[in-house]
Amino acid sequence: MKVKNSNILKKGDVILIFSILILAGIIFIWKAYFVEKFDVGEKIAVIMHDGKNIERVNLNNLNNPVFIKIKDYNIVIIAEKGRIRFLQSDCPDKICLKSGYLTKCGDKAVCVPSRTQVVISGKDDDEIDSLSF
Amino acid sequence: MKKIVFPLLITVLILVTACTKNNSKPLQVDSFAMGTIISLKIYGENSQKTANEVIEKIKYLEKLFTINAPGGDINKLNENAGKGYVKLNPETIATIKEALKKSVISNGAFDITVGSIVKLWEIGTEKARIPSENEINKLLGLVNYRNVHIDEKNNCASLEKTGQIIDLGGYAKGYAGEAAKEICKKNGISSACLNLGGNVIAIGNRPDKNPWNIGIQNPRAKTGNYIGIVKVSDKAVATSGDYQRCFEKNGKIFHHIMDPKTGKPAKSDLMSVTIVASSAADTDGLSTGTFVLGFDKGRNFIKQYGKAEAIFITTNKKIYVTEGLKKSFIFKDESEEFEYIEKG
Amino acid sequence: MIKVNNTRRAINIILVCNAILFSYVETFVPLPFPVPGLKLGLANIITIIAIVFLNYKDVVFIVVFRCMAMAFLAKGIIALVLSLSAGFLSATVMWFLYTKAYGIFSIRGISIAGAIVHNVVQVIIASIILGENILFCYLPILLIASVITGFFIGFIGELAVKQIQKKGLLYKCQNS
Repeated sequence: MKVKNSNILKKGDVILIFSILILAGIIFIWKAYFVEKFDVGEKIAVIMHDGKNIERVNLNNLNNPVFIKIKDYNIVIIAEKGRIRFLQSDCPDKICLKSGYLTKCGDKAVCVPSRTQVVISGKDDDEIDSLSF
Repeated sequence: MKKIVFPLLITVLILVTACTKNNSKPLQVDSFAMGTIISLKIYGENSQKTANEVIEKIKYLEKLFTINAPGGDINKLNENAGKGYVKLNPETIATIKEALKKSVISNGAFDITVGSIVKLWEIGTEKARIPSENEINKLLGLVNYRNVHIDEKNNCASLEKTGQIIDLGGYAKGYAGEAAKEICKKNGISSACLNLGGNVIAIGNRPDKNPWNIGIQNPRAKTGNYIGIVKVSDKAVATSGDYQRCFEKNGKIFHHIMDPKTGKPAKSDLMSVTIVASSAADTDGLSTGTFVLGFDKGRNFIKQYGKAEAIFITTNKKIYVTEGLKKSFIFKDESEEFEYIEKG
Repeated sequence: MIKVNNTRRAINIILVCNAILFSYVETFVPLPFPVPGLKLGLANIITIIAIVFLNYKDVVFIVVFRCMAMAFLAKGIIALVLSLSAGFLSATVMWFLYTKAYGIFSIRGISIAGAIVHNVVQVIIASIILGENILFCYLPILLIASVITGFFIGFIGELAVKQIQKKGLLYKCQNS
């Protein structure tokens, strides 16, 4: 098959690009409006490593920054008042660092090589799920 | 044209799976039954249907087992005490059978025939009073689980002596919890946390795959304050305590857990005991029985029973946890009044 | 006949080396999007050339070899799993689109499709590794980034292919 000399986008291209962009737009709007995000109230950052919860930090009451260290890749997570982020990591991708500050409920940052995840969970997530009395 | 759909189809398919897996919003339903608050937290597709069925079942069992309102099987059985066998609902028979088993293994510390004593003291109602020794002694003879006879084949039961009263109060919620668990299973629910007036049934794990965190009520603080958290999956947690229903007279506090042998509130060195077991039906009866037995005998009892773990809070504010539960128990007492004794 | 086979092998090796080179170079290009495993996809230029001029087996060989070489360099098992599965699937999809739907898609479109498949697969596998469903969170930005990088790479790929055709470099391969 000879490649034709043409600079115009073909039918399929246009449809593809268009539908992908619309799809991305729909998901984005859905996330923004329908996935509930409580911005008021308790902001609790949950740090997961190797599939387990290793730390819960209440970001509201934090007056001094707290550093959470994880052995893998010398990861350091800094938790401050109202926000948290990966501060340093020796992982090859550094996606976690690029995610920047997590400030709202639902914000997430992951480091795949070390299986670490930091997410801010909303009011729902109290320390206990139920009380036996 | 149909080939354009290919990449689109892939993305849509992935999207769909991503969406359906995003079931992280629970159905939270609160209701009132069995004289207490029922709080259900259910995750999954059939959550609403399941919640409705659970509440219906609990209300049904309430009507069946109550002795505080007319109707139902237990009333029927009690009214016919001393008059031979009565035909009952197979569920009632099954419940009584299980409750009797608990009486046997606890050597009578847990006894459903303690109803006449409970009615005498009327704790939990406005008419609560301290009965005289005479009154108590007269009724003690009527407290004996061995006087309950079951004919499973014909679904009948009988109470030997006239005046004997069966009270399933210390057991019904556990049984209801078991029934609720079955309903959840039937509807394919794999993650739920049900609270029946303090009896917790944890089904599976939380949606984030971690075990459920169940707080243990601080026996000397307002409801909602806890002294520790126990992490459980697929377990039931029930607590019996001296703070649950009580009244004060002459400066003394009388709680509602009767000792079947004395006819008075059990003189236990425990403020509360929490039982953790796979069977919800087990937990309720065991917690009452263990409380009556007190710390030392209660600990041995649980050890012997083997199929349950326990958290003991003694009257001198010390917390003890059985071996099998130590890893899942987190001591967290904001009141700082209690001490967790890890060894022993 | 033998001559052509040798030529083919030589072409394969040249392309593989180029692919590895391109992959290595792009590790120095950071993308502004915080999506796990998101890359420019320079090596896909080679994949595109291979798809146009060679057969499926050769394409797979080039992609697989390139991924393994990169994983060896980067010393990461996770990287290997991610890029191998993503690369293979994306190359297959692009091959399919090129051979069956070239009339409807241009090389740019095919490259976009390949980029989407590649990145989506990587995020899915990252989700499995993490044990958390992160796909939903990254999907919008992932899709947009894929469109942009895919278009860019496709554009370059198209240019490369035209040049190669003009100069008849791979004429023998095209006809075998």
